[in-house]
Amino acid sequence: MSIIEVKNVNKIYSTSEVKVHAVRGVELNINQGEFTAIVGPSGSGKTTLLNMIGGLDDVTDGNIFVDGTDITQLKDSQMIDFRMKYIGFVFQAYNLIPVLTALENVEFIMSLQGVNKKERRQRSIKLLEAVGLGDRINSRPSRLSGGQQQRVAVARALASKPKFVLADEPTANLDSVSTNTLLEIMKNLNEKEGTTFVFSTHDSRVIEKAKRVVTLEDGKIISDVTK
Amino acid sequence: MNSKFITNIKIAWRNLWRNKRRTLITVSSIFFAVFFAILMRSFQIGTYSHMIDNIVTKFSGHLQIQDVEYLDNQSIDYSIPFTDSLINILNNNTDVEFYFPRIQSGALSSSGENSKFAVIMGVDYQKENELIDFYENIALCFLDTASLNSIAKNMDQKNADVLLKYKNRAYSNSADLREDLFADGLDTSKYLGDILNKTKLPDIKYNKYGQDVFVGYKLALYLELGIGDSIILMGQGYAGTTAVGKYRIIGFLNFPADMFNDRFIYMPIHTAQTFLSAYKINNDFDTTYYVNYIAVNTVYQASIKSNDYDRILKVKADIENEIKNPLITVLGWHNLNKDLIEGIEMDNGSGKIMIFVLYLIIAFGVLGTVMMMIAERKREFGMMMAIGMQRKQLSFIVSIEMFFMGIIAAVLGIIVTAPIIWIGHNHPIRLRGDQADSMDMYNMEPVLPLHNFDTYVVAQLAVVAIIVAVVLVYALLKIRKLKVISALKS
Repeated sequence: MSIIEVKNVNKIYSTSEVKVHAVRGVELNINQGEFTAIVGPSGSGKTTLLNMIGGLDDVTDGNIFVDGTDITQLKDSQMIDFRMKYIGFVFQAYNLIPVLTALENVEFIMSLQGVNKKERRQRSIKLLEAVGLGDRINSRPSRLSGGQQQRVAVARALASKPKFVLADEPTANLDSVSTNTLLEIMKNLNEKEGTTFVFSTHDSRVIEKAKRVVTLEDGKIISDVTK
Repeated sequence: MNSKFITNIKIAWRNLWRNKRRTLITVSSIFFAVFFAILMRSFQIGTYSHMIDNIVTKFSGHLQIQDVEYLDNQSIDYSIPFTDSLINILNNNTDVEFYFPRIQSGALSSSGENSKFAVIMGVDYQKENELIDFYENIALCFLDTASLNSIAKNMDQKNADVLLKYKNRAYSNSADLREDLFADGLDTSKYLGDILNKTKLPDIKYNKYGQDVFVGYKLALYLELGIGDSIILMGQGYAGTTAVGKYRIIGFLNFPADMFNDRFIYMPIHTAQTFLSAYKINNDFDTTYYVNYIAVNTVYQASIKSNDYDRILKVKADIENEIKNPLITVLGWHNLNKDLIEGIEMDNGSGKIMIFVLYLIIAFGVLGTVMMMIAERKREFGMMMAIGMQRKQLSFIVSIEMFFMGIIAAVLGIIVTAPIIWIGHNHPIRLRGDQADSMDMYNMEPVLPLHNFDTYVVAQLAVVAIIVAVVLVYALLKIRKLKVISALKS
């Protein structure tokens, strides 16, 4: 069953002098439980596509359905609400809230959802333990390594029980040890919990682990391989 | 309490301390705005209150009962009868603390070949003394040329030169004379006794109803008159009568302001009423005397604080209601001291402009730090919105941060200014030298008091709150226009 349906999506960035066609007529379906990597060289449009799927960026043309909802038709506040309920994000630069501890960062999204304190706490600890940070729950981001921060970001992304997780080059800032640890964690979550992951990456280690690899070039899908 | 709310408060509070320097700059900016604004206003209002209290209480009175025409045409013809019923009204009003009738008119004063315009003041000496320490303005000694020459003969040249500079001056007490001479280098320990002995004016008992007058010492000097001499006064009395009289000088007046010494003649109010024919004989046993006005001081304070003025206005209305005479009016001190009020308003206006400029500078300072804060945290804001935080929640967090900074700065401002204002109010700065002399001229205590904590503090805090609110509007507009994707890329 498709959780994400991208239908003939175009994205054109216009400046006063030039128009850049970042994504050209992309058609893509992603099913529940997939572990998909969107790959391609720099400027191929993979991050733009990911941002549009996450509702962070507008489409110029076309439609994106997430769990049956056409997110291109949602208003700003509806989109924010939609993201909170349906999508988990892992950013390249971790983007944790610096004044909150690892535990509070994970709890944060659940507090936005109105989850009660006890449940929040239990789930956050469980998630942090799942990403191997059970002993660092009270550390603030500045006290954590890049790899640890990204693992907190994964735990945070999963805290809201999203339909899928979008990860934009999650390993770009990590060393190989951290990258492997993070990939193992995400792979486990995918295999054991059935969590859907969609990455944009050009990291061969991530591509290796992916079950499906969608390759973009000049804004077009040039290959879509399921292993 | 709502968990989202608590989380937002927690984030806001911690955000304050993540960049301590920025918070310190913002809090300091607001703190200094509060500190200087409160101090400046306290100083301004304190000075105005002091000035008003002195001038109004000692000269015009909080209220004046007078003829309806008198304010615009200060002629003896617009005098009012000072009747027993009027006295009863004032005596029975518990809000009236003190009242003092006055009658005044211009007249020609003369002696021998000399004559000069003089202002005749008919007053109750006792009441004037309670108000303006009238007796302390009576000259103790007059340094006339003949006396000084005879004293200087027995001095060395240096001391003689100093002494002769004091020709034709009057002093109301020996301490002031000693201070001035000593400051000029005269050997007071050696010569003061002799100077006082030879220049001391005779002490003459006066009669409350008699023909005795006090004359400004400069007027007496011009007319070449001494104590015990007679002075002729001639002018126009009540209802077109001719006012002519011959009076005995029993003292010289030495007011701090030379304007008074040049032309003022004080006499008992009954003497002035008789001189000006300001009375009406009802029958052989009953005469009604007239006065220009009756100045009334209330138990309230004459100040620019509106609640005090309102209370005084109520006393005014009460007295007016009881007098029930359409030809007699009761005026408040605001009407009687328009020049003073205008002067204060002008000064107050310029003071407010200064505070406005101060606030403007501070506001730009705060705006600068907030702009910096927004720019620094743009990506963080984008991330928060990306994972599901609504703009209004984000706005709430930033508002709380600004609120915290404003509150911290305002509380600090109050904590620091409170003791300074308490000290400045209870132990005002005492002026010395020329500044003190200029205040002495108006019988004002030469001090610059700070006004105690009052509603003006609330006003300053309100302005600071508005500045914070305006700056916050900028931050909120930025959040409102924030594009998640561009914020994440920033």
